Amino acid sequence: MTKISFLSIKKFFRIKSNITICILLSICMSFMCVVNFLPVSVKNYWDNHLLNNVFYRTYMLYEQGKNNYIKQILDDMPEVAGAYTFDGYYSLTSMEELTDEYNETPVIMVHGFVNPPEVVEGSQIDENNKDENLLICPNKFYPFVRNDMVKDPENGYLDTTREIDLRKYLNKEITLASDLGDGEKTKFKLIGLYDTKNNRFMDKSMCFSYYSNVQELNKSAKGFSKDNSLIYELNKISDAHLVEAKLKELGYYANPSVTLNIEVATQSFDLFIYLSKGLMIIILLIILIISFIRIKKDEKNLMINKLLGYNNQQFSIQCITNSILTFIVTLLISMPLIFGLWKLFQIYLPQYDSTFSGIKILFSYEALIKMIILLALILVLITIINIISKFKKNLINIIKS
Amino acid sequence: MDNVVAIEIKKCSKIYHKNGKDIVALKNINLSFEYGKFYLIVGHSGSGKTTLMNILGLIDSKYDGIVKINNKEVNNLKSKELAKIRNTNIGFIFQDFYLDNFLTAQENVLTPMLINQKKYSYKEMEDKSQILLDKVGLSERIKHFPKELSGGEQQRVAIARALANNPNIILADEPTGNLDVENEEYIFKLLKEMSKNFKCIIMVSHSKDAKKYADVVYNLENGEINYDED
Ligand SMILES: Nc1ncnc2c1ncn2[C@@H]1O[C@H](COP(=O)(O)OP(=O)(O)OP(=O)(O)O)[C@@H](O)[C@H]1O
Ligand SMILES: [Mg+2]
Repeated sequence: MTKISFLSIKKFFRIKSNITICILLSICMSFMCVVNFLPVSVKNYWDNHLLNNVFYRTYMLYEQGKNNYIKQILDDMPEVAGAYTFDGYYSLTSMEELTDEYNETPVIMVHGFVNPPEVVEGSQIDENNKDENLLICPNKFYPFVRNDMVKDPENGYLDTTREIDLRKYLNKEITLASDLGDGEKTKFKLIGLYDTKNNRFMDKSMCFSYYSNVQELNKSAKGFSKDNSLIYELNKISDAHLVEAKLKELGYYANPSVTLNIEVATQSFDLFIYLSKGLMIIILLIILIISFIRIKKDEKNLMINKLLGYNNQQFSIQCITNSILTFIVTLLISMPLIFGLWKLFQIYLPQYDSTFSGIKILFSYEALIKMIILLALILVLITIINIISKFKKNLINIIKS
Repeated sequence: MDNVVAIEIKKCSKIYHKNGKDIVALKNINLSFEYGKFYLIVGHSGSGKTTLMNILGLIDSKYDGIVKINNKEVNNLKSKELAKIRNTNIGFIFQDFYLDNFLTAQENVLTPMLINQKKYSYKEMEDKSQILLDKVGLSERIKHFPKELSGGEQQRVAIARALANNPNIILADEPTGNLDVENEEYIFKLLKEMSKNFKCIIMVSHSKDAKKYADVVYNLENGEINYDED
């Protein structure tokens, strides 16, 4: 038995296509492996830097269909340590997650471009729960509200189409009309303001209280959410501390933990994740195609071996030996590749993508093990296909072909 | 050892079904092959020679009739048992050599031994295969791959391989079809020598010279044995 494997091993290394497969596999596998270092590194970074001292970073930023919109906002507002963008419906689930986990309404921080009524469309004002739902708003406010919904501020409606100085409305109840659908009204009490220009909070009395009902929000989000993914934006952490401190100073509750959804992190992560998913499909295709070509090409040898008396058990051993060799050789080629790619990412990723500036790309054994398991699974699949195809072939049929 | 029957077939017929048509390749053949004799099967192209060889060699198991090897019926054996018999009792030689291109001459020869799972060490197998290659005059070529050998040399490797497990039956389907006259003579002589060592040699050949070496000639015509000629 072992002697047959011995000859199979010799033969394996003489067949060029075997080595080609190993090289292709290694390239794809190492890339996938290193891409998976990224979310782990980011998580680690946030865990170390933020977990204990940053308030709930649920900055609801309403994205106006452009990716760089949020970046722009964040540039305007450096103290924003992170932002969960409410990209259509799907991030609403994240909101649900947040509230489920902490069983309390997070501080919701809204930048000037946000149109709160739209975000909480369908929500009811919870009169009993006013102070738990806070909205801190910058003093310059540019919500996108349809013109025909603009009402006279004197009557409790706020003209949100123009730049307005919210200071006028301090400690007053105001209503924002939704720009969608029935123009539902949402009531706010302006209790404070936050100065975007100087990045400074004014006093507590200048905060903007926003009565919303997160439960309602969640309800309305159900059925639309596609997954639990959050898009994550990173920015200066030191400023986050500042924001937190200010909030505390103002007497508001700052939640000490950060919730991260690592599955889908930044937008650039998306790219990498899609790339690695695409790569995986490509790998599978390449391998399947090559193994089928090989099965076809191997027909002559299959026939010879059957003729000489190989039985199914011996064929299986041969196939398994081949797969084990592919596995080992692929791993051997992968290791230096992974290391090289990792170093490359470490050096060039922060330059190419500011998301990663300051973040150390860590080596993740978890990602490595995942990759190895995936490789093993693929090879097991191929082995099974190979063995079955060999069992099925009738000697007389191959000899005739 | 004289008159000991190696292979016997009784009432053997083979019908191919192709596109709804029946092609009768063998019709009710009764033959027996003895050890120590060199059999030659001749016949026109399409007369059923290869079909017969495939049945004798347990390559084809879909036929009517009875096949006995060493007086033991093989019709109902499982594919694993058939493989075992092919491996230990029968040596095959084909027109197209059928060597494994990724193995050296020596490795090709020792493959049947490896499959056989006898308790030889790899080294012993290598030695044995070297002796076999010496026998066919290829002692200088043991590390060559098939593509580094001439046709005649390749066929000799195939013969050495056929002898690997010292089988008593050798089936050769047009072994010299791709070879020149000198190589042909060399191979016929080798086969003849084997038959003198009490092996049962069954060869299909179109060569006119083949008859000089054969002890018995069977003439196949349209799937039937024509006894008129010899
Ligand atoms: N797989 C098959 N399906 C259908 N018909 C077949 C098949 N194999 C062989 N035949 C037919 O059976 C007959 C015998 O074929 P066989 O290969 O035994 O001839 P042969 O005597 O070896 O000829 P040659 O000397 O040309 O090799 C032929 O008429 C052939 O067309
Ligand atoms: Mg033929």
